[in-house]
Amino acid sequence: MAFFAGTGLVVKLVLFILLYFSVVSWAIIFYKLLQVYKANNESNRFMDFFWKTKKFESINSQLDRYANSPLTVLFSEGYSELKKLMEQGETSHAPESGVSTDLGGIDNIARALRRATTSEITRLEKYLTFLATTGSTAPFIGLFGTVWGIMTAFKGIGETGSASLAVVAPGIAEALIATAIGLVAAIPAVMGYNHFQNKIKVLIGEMDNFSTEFLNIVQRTFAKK
Amino acid sequence: MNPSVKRNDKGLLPTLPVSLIFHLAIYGLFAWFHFFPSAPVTEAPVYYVDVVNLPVASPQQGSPSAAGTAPSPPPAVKPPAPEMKLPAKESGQKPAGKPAKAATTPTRTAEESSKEFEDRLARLQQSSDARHEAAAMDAIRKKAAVRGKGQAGIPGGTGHESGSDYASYIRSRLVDAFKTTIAYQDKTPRMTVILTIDKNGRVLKRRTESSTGDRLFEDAVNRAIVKAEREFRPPPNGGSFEYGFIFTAQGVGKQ
Repeated sequence: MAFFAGTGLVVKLVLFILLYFSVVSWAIIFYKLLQVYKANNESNRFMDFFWKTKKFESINSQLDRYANSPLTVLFSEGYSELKKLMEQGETSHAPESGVSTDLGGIDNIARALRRATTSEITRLEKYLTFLATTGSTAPFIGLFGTVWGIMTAFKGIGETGSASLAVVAPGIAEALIATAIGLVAAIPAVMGYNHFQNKIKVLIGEMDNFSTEFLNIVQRTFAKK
Repeated sequence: MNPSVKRNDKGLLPTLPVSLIFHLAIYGLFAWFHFFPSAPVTEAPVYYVDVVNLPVASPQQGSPSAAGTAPSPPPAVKPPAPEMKLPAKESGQKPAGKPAKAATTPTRTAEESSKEFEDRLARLQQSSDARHEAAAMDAIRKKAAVRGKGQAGIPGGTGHESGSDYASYIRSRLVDAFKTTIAYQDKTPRMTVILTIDKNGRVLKRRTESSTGDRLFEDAVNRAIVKAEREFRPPPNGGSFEYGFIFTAQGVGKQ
């Protein structure tokens, strides 16, 4: 702590900002690790359950068990839209109950699924922009602290009139710590950002596949010609 | 949008303390293993010659030489005895019966008186020089005698007092040691330490009178004192010695 106490005000401010970036970045990393792990795990379990269970209604009643999976939201949205269409068909006294493909019933469900997918992508990508910002700006903030610290050190050297290593070295070391901490904050943020982007890309693929499967099942089972 | 799926998502609230603890743990590890740069690079030792002669104190404060061991003053140089040669009486030496030469007597008398005058003048000058020399030697003898009694310098000084020169000596040892231990974080670190040295040259007590609070610098000063203590000689007065020294980034000074 004494080492940081010896730095100037600007360098201290820079170090504080970098510490904030680092703490929040790691909090996001821990949060995202949990979130992505739960999403993957529960999606796999939900897909098993989905294919084993024949009735949409019984699937819908068990959704809370897989609440962290984005697929449950897709299913829920698609199923509620399907229910609305079915209820609409019953109330209109149509000769055959079911979802009409001619009047855009399937399209309604597709739109509902797309909307749910978008909202889930937004949820999964939440806070990732902070990681990207940290990864791109922290080294520059650290560099600023270093430049400022070196300027101050040289000013001090000019005032004391001594250019010995014992006088120069502490100032330079103080200044360089800012760049080091900038990199320490940025490197995990960039790594985390790339890692979670890949994981989310996989989840988006799973959601697209599930949407297609859901629409196929609806068209096969409920659609009327 | 989706009332059927209820999630228990508290955002970053649970992970922020975890992250804080994680950072504290990393910092603790770094501090524990001394990964943070703490001391500047040690400079190559600078050798220099002390201009302090021990155990001679400053002339203003007396000499440590005892009266009994004082060097004896140089022997008085006796002024050379003036040669009181009288001019030779040529008239007595000359044969009496030579009238031819008697005619030239007045001119010879004039020459003789002139020569006599020059001789007298030379003798007087020689006598004056001898007196001056004797007076100077007498003054030197008196001064040496007084110094031998230890009455020069401070009033009542015996010549055994440890004066500023012993402090300079201690300072020079501290400067040497401090060059190898100096480390600091503040821009202008400063520490004033009062050292008490016992009759054996050991540091009896060290008291920090003032400090700018740079712990690294204080540690460097303490290490310098411990290191320098090995080379301390006993104070010249045979007793203890107390003096204040000011440590700065530029070196060591006397209070």
